[in-house]
Amino acid sequence: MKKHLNTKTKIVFALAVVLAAVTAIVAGLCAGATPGQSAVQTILSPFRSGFSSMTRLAERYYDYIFKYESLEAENRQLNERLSDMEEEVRSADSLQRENDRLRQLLELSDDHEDYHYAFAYIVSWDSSNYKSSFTIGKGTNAGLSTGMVAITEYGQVVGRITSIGTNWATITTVLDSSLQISGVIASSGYTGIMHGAYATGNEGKLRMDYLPMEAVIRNNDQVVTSGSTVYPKGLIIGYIEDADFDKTGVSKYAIVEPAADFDNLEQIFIITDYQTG
Amino acid sequence: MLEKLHITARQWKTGIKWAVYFVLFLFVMLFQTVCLGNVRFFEVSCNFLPVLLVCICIREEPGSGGLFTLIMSLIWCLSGADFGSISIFVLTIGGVFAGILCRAVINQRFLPCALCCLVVALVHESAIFLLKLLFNGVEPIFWLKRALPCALLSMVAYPLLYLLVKWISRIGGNNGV
Repeated sequence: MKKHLNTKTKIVFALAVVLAAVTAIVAGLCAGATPGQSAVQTILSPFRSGFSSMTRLAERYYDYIFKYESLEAENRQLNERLSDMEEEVRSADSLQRENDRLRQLLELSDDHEDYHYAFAYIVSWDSSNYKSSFTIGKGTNAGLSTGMVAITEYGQVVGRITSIGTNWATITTVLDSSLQISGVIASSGYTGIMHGAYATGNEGKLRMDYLPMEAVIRNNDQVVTSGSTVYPKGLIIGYIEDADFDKTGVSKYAIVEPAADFDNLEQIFIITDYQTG
Repeated sequence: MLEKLHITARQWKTGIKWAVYFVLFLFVMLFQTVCLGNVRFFEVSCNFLPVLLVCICIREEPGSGGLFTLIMSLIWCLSGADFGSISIFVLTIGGVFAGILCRAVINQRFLPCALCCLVVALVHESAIFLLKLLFNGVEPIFWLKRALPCALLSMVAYPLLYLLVKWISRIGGNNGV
């Protein structure tokens, strides 16, 4: 066995220790992406985007091949409904003939005229069992920067950009315990701090801490962002699922079901600019 | 043309072999993060890269396999992997020792290699879990809920990766025992 531990092997061991220490120290000192990460992620970004496009294409073919009969039946039903709906549309008021698709996609623009958006597709997810983050195929070249908020087309909070490069950005989702958001229960006005709850065994949920003892918390109460220089006010975070006293006994906490559907997330919108207050 | 570049045919084939290993690594990394990144099996995500890198270390000479593992785990770390620094250390050391063990004591057959891959994958996940326990306050029960299932689930790809690495290692001559 000793003959296999030659000079080359010992050098590899030493390099492994040194590189592990250097990368750990540099990652700890740098906020956001390190220069090495930036370079590697910039090179990987087009590969990820290409792979992601091929995956979506393969999923479409899979759906076509294996769901053809059900799709055919659904198509017949939809055609019947379409002809019924065409009758309804013809007799509707002219104001109801607005572009339904654009309004559904960017409904927020009517409510928040001060928001500016950039959209992006998700190209890869962090495969860690302890983190919840993903990478998009846009970066500083699209006017994005660290700290910007990502939402769905329905105004549901997805997360924040935590590191960025020229053509990529990593978004840490609200499910990650490292991300904290100030939230408010819409019906009662009680505020608290929210973060991902995987560390307490509630994976896929959020935990809202520091709620006052006297707070009356009901199931399905909507929780929204309270507004700050980081998060615009009024974005939907989730809905209360459970509540209890915390270990200290001086405050309450609530378990919140996130509003965004993370399992089926493909495209997100980044708020690039908004007015506070 | 190779003579003009002072490269022998064997060196050329060896270069091709390592290039194919790199392409395989890249494919597995992209597949894991793009296709399976948001997919959970029994509430756990898979990590096939430790299995692949250990297979390569076992098949190749310890120094070369270790160097390749070092570079690939560095790329993995810089691509944004969670606690990637510990991956550089664990995968390189673990991979080289697995390779030495298979050459010196046991053999490079399917089952002994599988055992080595499982041990290294388990050590890797346990190391990450330990750091999460120390720095992020994860509950100890998460070793049973996340680390152990992740290592076991990652072995699902072992048969395919073992065969692919075995086939690639034959390019340029067999370096195995």
